Parts: sequence; C-alpha cells; structure tokens
Amino acid sequence: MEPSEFSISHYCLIKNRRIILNGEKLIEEEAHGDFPSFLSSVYKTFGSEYTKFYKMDLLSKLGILTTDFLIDFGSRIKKYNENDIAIILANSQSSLETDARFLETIADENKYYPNPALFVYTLPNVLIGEICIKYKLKGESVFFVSQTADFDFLRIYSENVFRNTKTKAIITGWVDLDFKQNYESILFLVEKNDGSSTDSSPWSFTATSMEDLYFEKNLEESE
Amino acid sequence: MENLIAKLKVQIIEELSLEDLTPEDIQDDEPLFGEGLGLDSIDALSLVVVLDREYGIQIDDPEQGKDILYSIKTIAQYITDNK
Repeated sequence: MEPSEFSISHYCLIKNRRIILNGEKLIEEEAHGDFPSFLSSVYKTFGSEYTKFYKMDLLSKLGILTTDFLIDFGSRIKKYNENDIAIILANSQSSLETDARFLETIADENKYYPNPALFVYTLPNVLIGEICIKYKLKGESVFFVSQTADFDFLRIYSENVFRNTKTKAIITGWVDLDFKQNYESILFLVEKNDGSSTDSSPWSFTATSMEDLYFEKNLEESE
Repeated sequence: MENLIAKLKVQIIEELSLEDLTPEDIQDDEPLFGEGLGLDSIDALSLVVVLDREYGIQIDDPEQGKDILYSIKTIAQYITDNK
C-alpha cells in the first residue's frame, strides 16, 4: 500500500464543555455557567496574553481557542512560512448567533443604534481573519457553510489546495455555534508527509478518520 | 465632571468589551487610541454610538471626532459643553 501523501498531525475538539487535544482530555468543566463563561474560563486558564480575545464574538472565541490548542499557541507551525499555511473551515450556522444579537440593536426603529462591534462579526469567515491576525498567517483561506460536517468535502478541497498551491500545512475543520449557543469545534492540523520525519502520525487524512475523532470513537475504544 | 468621567469609564469598558480592564486602569488624560488604551477604528465607531445613544450627542465631523475622542476627559468635556 502506498504511504499517504498527507496526514493529521494534531487535532483539537471542543464540545460539551470538554477540550480533547490529540486524544487526551485537556479540560472538562463542570456543567455550570453558560457558554461565554466557559470560553472566558478556558482563556484565563490557558490563554496567551491576547487582549483582543474579549472583543471577539463567540464563534471567533471558540475558533481561536481551538486553534490555540491545535497549534500549541503557534509553536507547531513555526517551521512553516506564513504564506504556506492554509485555513479551510466550515460550519452549519454561519455567524447566526452574532447576526441575531446584531439584529437586536436595529430591531426597534426608535432605538436604532447598530452596534459596530457586533456588525464586523456578521460573517463566519471573520473567524479566519482573527486566526490570521493572531498568528500572522497569509496563506489560502476559505469558509464553507453546509448542513452537516462534510469531512470528505474538506479532505478533497484540502488536497486540492495542497496540490495546486504552495501550501505546506492546513488548519481545517468544523467550528459551529447556533443562536442558542450550542457549539462544537474540531480542528485538524494537516501536514504533508515529506518522508523526512521520523514521527508517524496516528491519524490518516481521511473522512473516516476525521469522523471518528469528531464523534470521539477513538476515545470510546480507549475507555 | 468627575461623576461623568467615572460613568464614562464603566460604559466604555462594557461597550467595548474591555473585560480585562477596570475603571481605575483608565487614566482621565490617557489617549484612548494608539499608544494609550490601544483602541481601534471599530471602537471609535462604538464610542460614537454610545455618545448618541446615552447622551444624545452626534459627532458628524471625523476631524472633530479625533479631538473629542482623544481621552476620557475630552469626551466628558464635550458632553458637558454640549448637553
């Protein structure tokens, strides 16, 4: 069997108040407090100094924290040029949670005060911008909206980006948040297997592999 | 004007999501933009909205806005002079 050209070197999953990094439980919060409190608590516990964190909308906070853990606050992608790292994300709810909050600021014509800080987050790809600003990334990027997490699509698209651009590593995955603040986020760091590394990745870059990590089948097997 | 300055600091922290700051961290004369608090252009727009919504004050001239929004003290002075 031919060795695969790409593999998942790291992944991070945030859902149900838990953070799983590369199959290990990093944090599990008690089920009290709301989603914004959970994010702030995680940021204060693990976050690097990044004042802008508090200004972001909830989708961006979720995505930034997932990215922070995925790339170990940047150290895992230091070997790459800033132009050679692509970001390919998707979700089902776009920026709906922020859209709804922005709508509240313009719903009453007698109190019509559009909130600029909310308005700038009324697109899901702003999350990609936040990741790029924090980690100074300038590679390819795209944000898809689909009904369900279609990991095969993300794989096919990512492989095309690898093959048709100078991209050497891709941050890809699913960062979703609905207007009731139900959330789930899983990001994968996908790298080219150049044959020089002595480390073999435990996860192949396939839809099945990504689905298993997303549905935590790997954890069920180890428990 | 001291009460107004104290109120403005609380409003700015809430409105601009400066959760890592307390009112005591903001100096009355400190520049809000650039080297001071480091606010950005979106923050400037948010401040303009706060002044309109909370104090009925509209800033139409961007050049004038630079001077008005320079610090907490200049904002308070402008509100006092124009209310």
